[in-house]
Parts: sequence; structure tokens; C-alpha cells
Amino acid sequence: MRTLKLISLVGATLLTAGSPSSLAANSQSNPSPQTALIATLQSNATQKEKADACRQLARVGGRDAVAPLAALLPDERLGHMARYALERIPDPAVDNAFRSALDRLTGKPLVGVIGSVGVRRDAKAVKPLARLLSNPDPEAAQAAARALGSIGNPEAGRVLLAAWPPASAANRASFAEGLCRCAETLLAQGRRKDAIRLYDLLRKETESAAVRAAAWRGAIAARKTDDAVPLLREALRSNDRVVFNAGLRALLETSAKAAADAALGEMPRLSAMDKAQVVQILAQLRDPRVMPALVALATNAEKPAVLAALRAFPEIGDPSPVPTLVSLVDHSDRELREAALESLAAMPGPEADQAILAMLNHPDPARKLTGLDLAARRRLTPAVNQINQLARHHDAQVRLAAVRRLGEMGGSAEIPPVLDWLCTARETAELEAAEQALAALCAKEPNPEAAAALVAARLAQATTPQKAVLLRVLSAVGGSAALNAIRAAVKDPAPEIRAAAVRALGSWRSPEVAPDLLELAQSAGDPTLKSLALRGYLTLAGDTEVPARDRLDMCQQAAKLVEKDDEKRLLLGVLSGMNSPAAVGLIEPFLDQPAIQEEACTALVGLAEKLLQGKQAAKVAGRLVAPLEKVARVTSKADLARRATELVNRAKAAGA
Amino acid sequence: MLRPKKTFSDSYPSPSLTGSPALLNRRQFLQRALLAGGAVAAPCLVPGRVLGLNGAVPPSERIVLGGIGIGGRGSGVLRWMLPEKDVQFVAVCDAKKSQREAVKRLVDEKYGNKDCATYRDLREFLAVRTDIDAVLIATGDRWHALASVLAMRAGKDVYSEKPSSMTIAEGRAVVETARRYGRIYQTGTQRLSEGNFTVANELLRTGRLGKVHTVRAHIAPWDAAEMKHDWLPAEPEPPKEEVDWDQWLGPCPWRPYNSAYTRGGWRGYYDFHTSCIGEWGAHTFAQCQVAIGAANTAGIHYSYVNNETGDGMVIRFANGINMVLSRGDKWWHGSCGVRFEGTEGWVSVADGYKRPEVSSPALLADSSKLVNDYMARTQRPMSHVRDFFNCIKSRRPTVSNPEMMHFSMSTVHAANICMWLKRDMRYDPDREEFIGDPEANRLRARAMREPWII
Repeated sequence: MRTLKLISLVGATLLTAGSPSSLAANSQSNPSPQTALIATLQSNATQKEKADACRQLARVGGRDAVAPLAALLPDERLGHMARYALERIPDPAVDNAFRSALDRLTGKPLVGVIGSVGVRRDAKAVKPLARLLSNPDPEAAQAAARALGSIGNPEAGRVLLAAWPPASAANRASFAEGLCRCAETLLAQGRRKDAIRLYDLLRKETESAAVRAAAWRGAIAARKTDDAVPLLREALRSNDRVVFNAGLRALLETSAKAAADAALGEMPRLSAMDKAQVVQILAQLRDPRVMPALVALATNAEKPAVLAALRAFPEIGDPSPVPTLVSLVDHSDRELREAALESLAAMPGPEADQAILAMLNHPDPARKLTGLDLAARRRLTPAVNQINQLARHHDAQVRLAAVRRLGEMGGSAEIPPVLDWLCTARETAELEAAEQALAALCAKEPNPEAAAALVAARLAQATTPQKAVLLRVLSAVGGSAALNAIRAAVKDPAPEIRAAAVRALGSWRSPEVAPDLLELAQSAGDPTLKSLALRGYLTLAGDTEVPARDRLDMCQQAAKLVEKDDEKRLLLGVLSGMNSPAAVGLIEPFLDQPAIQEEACTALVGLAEKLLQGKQAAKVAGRLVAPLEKVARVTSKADLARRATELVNRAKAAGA
Repeated sequence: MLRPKKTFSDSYPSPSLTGSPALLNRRQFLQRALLAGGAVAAPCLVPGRVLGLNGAVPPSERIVLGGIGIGGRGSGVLRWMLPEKDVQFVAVCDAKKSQREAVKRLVDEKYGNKDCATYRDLREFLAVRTDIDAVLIATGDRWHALASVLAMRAGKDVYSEKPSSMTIAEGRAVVETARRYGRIYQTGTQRLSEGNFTVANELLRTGRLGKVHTVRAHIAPWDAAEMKHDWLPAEPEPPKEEVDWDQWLGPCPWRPYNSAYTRGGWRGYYDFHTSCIGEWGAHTFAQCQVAIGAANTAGIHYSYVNNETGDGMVIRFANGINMVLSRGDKWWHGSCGVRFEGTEGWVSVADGYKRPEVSSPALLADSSKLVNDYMARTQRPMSHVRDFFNCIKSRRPTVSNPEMMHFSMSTVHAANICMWLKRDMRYDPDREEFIGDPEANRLRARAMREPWII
């Protein structure tokens, strides 16, 4: 326990001390945390305490800690934690200690030390590691091969090269790993030939697909372009899918045009699917120099390759395939046509923009429609003026599409022309398109009041169907100007306008219109308006964002007004979603009305379940028993009766 | 603070732009987006898939899949993978018998047979099952990198759950192994394949937020940056067939068995976990770094904050953008939130959003189109596992490839080290070392316990 406290104290000191490197360096002159930690290692401390000391020494240990830590390396319980510290101490004494241990240890401790030697890339350890390659313990031999690979100097490479042919089946994967690591290091040091020699040796591997993949990828990637190209071709001609894929991987790592050309040159020999795969890899290179070949492919290859090429174009980004894409937008094959459109939509640069602007001017309405679609997808705002003109086109489909696109792409400036357009619209489709566009434009308008004022100003001159559209748009826009306009329309002499205005109030997004709706529901002379208002009022009452108290009040008001069965159902739906005991009394009368009895039963059970789960369960339980018993008696649904009976029991228990 | 048993981030499928599962293929995505987009819906141009991967895939192109360490989280991912028509899951390896058997039940029920094989020993599994093309790795943090390296060395492509490394050195090993063996690797930062988060990234990329100066990244609201070193009381070690404790520990320092570790109680321990910063930072740092074009680099400056969690730490990138760590709900409501702030606007998104929150509704006027164009431009589906399977076939890198994983996790590790050492840090992402701080550099790696050494 005393040691534990000491370690804790040391840990706390480390967290607040200055640079630990200075702590380590000064260990000779000042008693340091390191001294205490070393003392722990050499004491009778528990395994946990010693492990914690090792953990701290990994952060602050210096030369003085090396010998005490090395002494723990043979210990099966603490050897790992000793390495945990030693691996992180930047002192050559650590390497000496590890090397020395290589000759002394066996079993797991030896495997661990070999791993640490690899992590530290100790070049002086090549000879002892070389001896370990023939260690009868396969784990030691395998670790040695990987460690040699991490060291990666020419001597390590020679050792591994010699050890590879006779390597046992069990060891081959790790020996190959070592060879690959070694090759990578050699390559990074500019020893290309040495690296290639290692990869080429591994390429002869027939058993392991993983080794073949690594060898072929490495062998191609390590070579200079002129040498790499024949090997890349060989890989792409291989019937071995592993080698083919390794070739693609190597291709992905190169920026040489010759490699890309080699891959393109192999295309005629490849299956359609393999061509598509090559194209996808070429696309990743984002090299515009391959574009002419891909464009050619897009016009005369098999469909999978054509699709891959079309989809590669935006990724590469070069504009040269734009004419090809344009030529395919009305292709008879839907998949090709859509791929071309997708690519045109995604192609960067002004060339695609120009092509789309040209489509808008094309005499063929079908081409105009395609252009409108693409213009919207590219957010081609310079096209807005042209689209505005197309909204007056003689072709109805073009007109409708243009108005919809104006809604998507336009801004404040487009609100007046779309309002103009609406005021000439007669057909239902036109009215709908205008409504859609106006709603979108007004939603983008930073000043909703201004947008509402523009819309409201058109009410006076609009026809009845147009007014209905304007009122719905105003309802979506919101704000005081919109609300005033809608309130005024409620008093319009035309019944259709009044109905549209009440509907607009009913779809208003905040509860401020509740008094308007209630008044209409109470006093409107027209039963249709009355019903519309009541429905709107109940919709608001069901809005969970409205305070619960207000919602209950609204339900109480509505309960006095509901006459038709569907109105009653609407009210019951709202009440069942409440969490208030007062709602029970509002539901109860409907339990006696045959036409809606089942809905009333369902609402009451739903409400009771919520109430009996709440904090006031005990308080309200007594009030629930009688109506629930009634539900159990009158409902024709067995399941509902069972739930009601269970609730009765719960209510009785809660109230007891 | 009590940790919730399950969070948004731990459950699949995650909510996406349309509030629908991340499993949507492109066609489904567009259809949902149209329904959700209302007045501003995108035009419906639906392409097929490259390589004709939609529809029934010939048996010769079936991807044979295995699993390593599939618990609660892994089962979620597996449920995401199993419906893919060109995937056949055949075997699971786990140190815990209960988990092996649970996965076998799940898979056998799915296929209507008894064929899913089970393995306790990872090395045996990798050596024997040469028929397996790819593995799903969903162990705890401690095993992610090592299992990935061993699997890739055995020729498997890898989908690894996050956080995908315990140290900077482990992440580098994953990168090198993937390159060495030409393997496909995807880390489970699935929000990079979800609509809402893609919208946020594209708003930033297309300049609609103006010049971006700050991004904010959510860190987990439980645990701390400083982690525990204590041992739970020793319990009798169960038979290896029940729980192989040595294998469960893997490369971590030995400690006595306690069943709590194996039931998720490993979180918060230094040897097993990457702290509250890694828990969600593995997602949110990746999201931010991809968004600001820093997927192939790491933060260069870390400002220490005097609290337990790293909340408020500012991490600067070489492009001048600051990433601020945030633990609470101030900038979003939901898990794994990110927020991007520019001179002309901001966007904020987290799990559970119907659509991102923005400074102006106009920014979302064509949100479905943004996703649409991202998919067309990158050929990435809005399904993280589908991207993995597509890339296995095409051999192109995944969206969450080893480099992206390594550099975003390097930022996680550097932030943790900053908190542990309680001082500001400078980091050189090219040399992968701290500048002028030898103690910090010592924390870039940890010796692995034998025989679990790379």
C-alpha cells in the first residue's frame, strides 16, 4: 500500500512537473520520480504496483531505469510491462539490453523482446535476429523475420532473402511480411534494385494469395516507369484475380502516364467488367491525359465499361467529354442516358454550363426540358433569365418545368415574375407549379414580411383559384402581413375565397390563429367554414409544441362544438395524446355514443395508460376506475377490454 | 455520470437526411428525398450502379464475409450488412462464447441453415478460413488496429469499427499494412455516408458558408480524457472456451480477469479505451477533417483546457481552420454533432435530425440535390457498408480509407495526449511527431503484449 501511494504521488508529480526529459536527464543530480519508480521495481511491491511503475517509466524513464527494467524481461508476468517502458526510452542502453536478452530468453518473453527490437529498428540486432529465424519456436522465428523487416537495412534484406526459400509453411507469411517491410525501407533509402529483388522473389509464391498480392503490388510500384509497365501489363493479363487486382493497386499508386496508357492498352483484351474496374481506378488518378481514351471507350465499349467511363468523367474533371455526354442525353438506353445526365450535372467547369445553356436554347422542347433539369441540378444561376423566358414558352411542359426551376434556383427577384405568371395561370397543373415555386422562393427570402407583402398585393386582382394559391403561400410564409391578408380574406364575399382563407388559417404554423379559428367554428354562418375552422382548431390543439394547458383549454372549447362523427374522432385523437386527468371527463360522454364508442374506448385506454405511468398516478387512479370499467364492458374488442381490465386493477392498486 | 446503454451513435441504421435508414440505395434515397423535399424537391434522375452491382450478383462475385468480435454494436453493423445480396457471412471469431453463439444464431436465422462457423482463436480463424474475402471487426478499441493488421496480412479486406487505433503508431501500422497487401479498408465512420452530414460537408465545400474559420466537433458526454489505471477485483478466470481472457486482453497489459470488463466495462480504462475524446471524436473529427479538406493531415496545434474532458479545446489545422471540441448540447441536439461556421453562414447537424440546422433556410433549399451531386461526383452511395462492398469489387479506396482514419485518429490521440500532459502541443503531421516535446512523443506508441505483436 505504501508503494501504491508512492506511485500515485509520482504520477501526480509527473502531471504537474516540467519537461520529463529534463527529469530523466537530471536523475543523477536530483532525487527524481524515476528514482522512486526504480525503487518500486526493485522492491517487494505487487505486480500491479510494478506494472504502474513501468507505465510511468515509459514516459519519464532514462538510462538509470534500463537495467532495473531489463531485469524484468524474463518475468512472464512483468516482462511485457518492462518492454512497455523500455521501448519508449530513447537511450542506446535499451538496445544493448534487448540484444543481450535475445540470447538469454525463450518462449513468450523472447517473442516480446524480438518485437521490441523491431520497433526500435536496432541495426546491430541483425545477426542475433538472423539466428532466430531458425528457432524451433515458430513464434520466435516469425517475430524475428518481422523485426528484421522493420530494421530493413541491406544486411537484413540479405538475411531474409536467404531464409525465404527454405521457410516452413507456418513461417512463410511472417517471412514475407519481413521481406516486404525490408523492401519498403530499402526503397525509401533509394536502394531500388535491392527492393525489387525482394519483391521479385516473393512473386514466385504460389500458395498465399496475400503474399502474391503484396509481391506484385510492390514489384510494380518499386520499379521506375519503363520497367514497371511490362510488369503492369503482365498483371493485367493475368488470369489470377489476385495478381490482376495487385496490378490495379499499383496503378493507383503511380502518376506515370505510361502506366495509365499501359492499362488502357490492355483494354481490348479485358472482359467488360474488368474494363469497368480499370476505368474506376483510372478515374482515381484524376489525370486528364487519360480522358481521350476514356471518351473513346464511352462511345464504343461494352455497356459496363461505358457506364464506368461516363461516371469517371466528373471525377477526373477534364471538360473534353462534355460533347460526348451531351450526345448521350437522349440515348435510347435509359441507364446510359441517366449516367450521361448524372455526369453532366456533376462535371466541373464552364464547358458543361455552356452546354446546358445551349440546351435551353435548343428548338426541341425535350432538349429544353433536359436543360432545365440540369440547370437546376448545377444551380446554374446565370440561366435564370433564360428560364424566366421559358416560363412563357408555347410548350406547356416547358412552361411548367421552367416555373418549377425558377422556384428552385431563383431568389427574391423571381418572386414578382412568378406572381405575374400565377396571375395568368388557369390549369390546375399551372397553379400547382406556381404555388410550388412561390413557396420555395418565399422560403429563401431573408425578409418574410416583404415576401408576404408582395404576395398579398396580388390578392386583389387574382381569380378565385389564384387567390386560393396565394392564401396557401401566405400561410406557408407566415408573419403579420400574411396573417392580416388571410384574416381579411376570411371576410371575402366569395365562399370559395373564405374557405381557402380558413384552410390557410388551419395550416398556420403557430397557435396565434387559435382565437380566429375558434370564433369561426363558433359563429360562422356557413357550415363548411365552421367545420373547416373546427378542424384547423383541433389540428392546433394536437400540436405538442403548444403548451399542454392551452391544448386542454382548446379541447374543452372544441368539445362544445363537435357535431359530426369525424369531428368527434378528431377530438378523441387529440385527447388520447394528452396527459391530463381533465381529459378523462372530456372523453367519457362519447363512451355512450354508438357511432364513435370504439374510438372513445381506445382514446380512454391510451390516456389512462399514460396517466397511470405518471407521477400523479395515485392521485388520478380513483377517477379512472369507473370509466375504464365501462370500457371493459362496452368495447367489442377483446384486446382493448383486456387492457382496460388490467388498467382497472392497476388503478385500484395505485389508489389503494 | 451514467452511460446510456445504447446511444444514437451505437445504433444502426442511423438517421439520415430523410430520417430513414442509412441503408438506402441511391434510388430509394432519391425517392425519399423527393417526398421529404416538398416544394423544393430534386429532379429524379436515377442511375444504375457501376459494375451492375444492383440486383442478383452471380455467385462467383459474392463477397464471403467473416466477423471478429461481434457484440452489440457489431451485431448492428452485421444486420446492416446481411441484407446485401452479394454478401454471404460464413464465420465468426470471438473470445467470448456467448457472443460467438449469438452471432451464429443471428446469421443462421437469416440464412435458414446452421452453417455459420464459430472460432475462438483469431490466428486459427485467419489461417484456416482462406475462403473469407473480408471481415467485419467490431471488438473493443484495444483490438481494432491489431485485428485489422492481422486480417489484412491474411489477405482479407477489412471493415473496422471505430475508434480504429489506440495510438498513432497503431494507425500508421494499419495504413502501411493496407498499402503493403493492397487491401480495402473502411473504418466505421458511417456519418460520412449519410445524407444530413453530407449536406453539411457540401455546404462547406461549395463555399455557401463563405470562408470557414471554425468547425465544432462533439465529444462523448460520458467518461473523461484522463482514464483509469486501476484493476477491478480478480475473479476466477472462466474456461477458455467461455471467455479466452488472454485473447480478450490481446495486446494490452495483463490484468486479472473480471467479468465486468467483458460486458462493456472496459470503457474509461487507459489500456482499453480512447477516452471521451476518442469515443465520439473518432466520428466527429473525421467528419470535420473531411469537410475542411484535412482528411490527409492532422491538427497542428492543440490548446490545453483545464477541465476533465477536453471540452473547449481548440485544435488548429495547417489551413488556419480551428476545430473546437464540445461536450454539451450547445451547438446541436443529438449525438455526434458537428457545426461548421463561415463568414456567410453556419450549418449544424447531429444524429436524429430531420435535416441540418442552418443560419438561413435558403441553405437547405436544394439539400437533396447537394447529396445527389455528391453521389454522382464521387460515386459514393449513401450506405457506408455498401461503399465498402463496392470498393472490394472495384479495388478503389473507400470513403473512410486507412489514411483518413489514421489522420483523424492522430488528431484524437494528440488531443488526448495534450489533456494527459496538461500543456499545449504542436504536432507535425508529416513527421508524425510532436514538436519539442519528447514526453508527448513517447506516448505515440505502446509496446504490445506478446504474442500479440505486430
